Amino acid sequence: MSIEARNVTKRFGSFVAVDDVSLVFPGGELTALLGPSGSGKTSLLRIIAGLERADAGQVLFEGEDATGRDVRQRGVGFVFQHYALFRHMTVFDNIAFGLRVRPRARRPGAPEIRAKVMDLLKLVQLDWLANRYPSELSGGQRQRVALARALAVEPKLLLLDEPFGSLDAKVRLELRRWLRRLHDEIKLTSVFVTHDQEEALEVSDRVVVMNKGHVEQVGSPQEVFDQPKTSFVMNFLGQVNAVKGGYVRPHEFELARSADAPEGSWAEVRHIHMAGAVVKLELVDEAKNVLLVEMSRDRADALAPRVGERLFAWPRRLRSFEAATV
Amino acid sequence: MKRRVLTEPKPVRVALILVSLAFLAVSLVLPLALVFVEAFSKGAAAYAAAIREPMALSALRLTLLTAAIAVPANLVFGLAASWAIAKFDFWGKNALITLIDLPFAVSPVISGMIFILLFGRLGTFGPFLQGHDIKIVFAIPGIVLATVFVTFPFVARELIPVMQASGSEEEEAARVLGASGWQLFWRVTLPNVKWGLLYGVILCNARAMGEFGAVSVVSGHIRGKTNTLPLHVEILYNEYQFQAAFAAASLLAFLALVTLLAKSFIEWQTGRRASAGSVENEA
Repeated sequence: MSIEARNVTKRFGSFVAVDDVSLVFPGGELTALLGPSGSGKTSLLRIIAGLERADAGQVLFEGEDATGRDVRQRGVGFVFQHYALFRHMTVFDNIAFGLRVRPRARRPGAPEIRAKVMDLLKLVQLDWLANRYPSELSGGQRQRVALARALAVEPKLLLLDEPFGSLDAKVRLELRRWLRRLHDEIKLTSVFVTHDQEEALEVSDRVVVMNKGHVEQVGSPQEVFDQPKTSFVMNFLGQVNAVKGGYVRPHEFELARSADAPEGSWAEVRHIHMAGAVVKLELVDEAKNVLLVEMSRDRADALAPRVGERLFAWPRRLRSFEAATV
Repeated sequence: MKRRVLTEPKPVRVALILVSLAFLAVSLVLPLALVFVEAFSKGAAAYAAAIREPMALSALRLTLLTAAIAVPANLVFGLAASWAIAKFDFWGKNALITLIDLPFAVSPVISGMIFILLFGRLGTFGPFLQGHDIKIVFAIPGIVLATVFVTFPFVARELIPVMQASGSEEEEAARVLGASGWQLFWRVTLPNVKWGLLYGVILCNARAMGEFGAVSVVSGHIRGKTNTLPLHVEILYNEYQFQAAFAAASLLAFLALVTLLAKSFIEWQTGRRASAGSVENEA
């Protein structure tokens, strides 16, 4: 199901959380709403779900106006950052909840509910935990139960609010790859909110970068990373060096022992971080600006930089945003 | 796991424990035991007679009736108020929280006086009530009203922190999953607060049955009609019928013991839940 937000605005007192945002989420895609906290991404997600009412603008589901539709009638699945599992119910009862509260005419019988819940538990690989309580599960398990619960009502749209936000780094990585595979399997239109650029770039088909209630850029992960349209996007997605004339990403710097480029500067090597596949260097140029430079291990071995040495640093690629508003 | 941080020498610990036990024995256990000793001082037959006496039975009935009205009334009110306070932001919320505490803040005698001033013969609504032949003060409605007023805060005060702690995410999840307001309340909100609610109801009930001050002012002390158990005890005592007074008092004391037992059972239950909750935090 495709979703559209038209001129959506949301205020909390004098704070404008979402400022006249218009967006289209194509059917079947996994879209990331990426931005720092306070950028309006969660508010926008909650407005699409119907948990929050927009002060102005419309929300359209499949071209149909759903602005006034109650959250119960929208047919969305919602996964909360802190899982929001029902504490006093078992995993099984949590997942069955959405089916059991249906009006009698549309409510499946107990055997059907049972089959459906067990299928979902298999899908999230937790069928052996059906009779446990949420307090007995790990964070990653709880989030998968929350996902199964959201999918039980067969939503036409899946919304996830910082779904990996409260998990530790390793579980986070596993779970987001798992979510990507799951999405490829079920092809459900999905939108997830995150402040983690790596997560957005790795998991989604499309990234919507938000800042201060505005949309800064919409595009594929590669587009927003390689062709940022504003200095905000450039800064938010990955590390960046602000130099005279624009911005340079650390891996787009070239270092040499001779000044063989027109635009560049001499800089002194302060630190070399050798750990990992990528070597990271910190230099200070003549204007006392700190430059972050990344290069491959092979390149670093060939150059063999030393701390205290002066090297000539020049950008292979320089981006400028004259028209940028930030 | 709680680690032992304080390491006082053993004699100090033993002395502290002995002092508090001695104090408890003298000020709490001894009087309570005396109630029962005095009640049975003339034998079990006299005890039974004092309790089966019509005035005592009528007082017991009125006490139970009052509690049977006041407790459900405050249960409904407490649920509504705590729900509103914990889950919504509205104008006048702080005023409501303060008002809930009002009955705790004023002396019960004053609580009783309020109703005399409102519904008494010379009170604000006095002429209207007399004109329509409605009796509130010195009658059962007055006793019920005074009791409801005095026991007003118990349920709400218990529930507000529990509801605030549980937040609204589970309710939101239930709504997205299609639950109606009614289903949401019965299946999500109520199960999450049930122990706090029960605790509040038990305290509310204990106070409703034991209230003396406010009820004494509005009751009028009409024997067999507007006497509750605590008032009945006072009358008997003033008439030097000590054994009968203590026999009636033993009913109230027995109720207090049941309340304490129920209370510790609930604390034990919530304690178990809390330890399950700490597992949750470590996970």
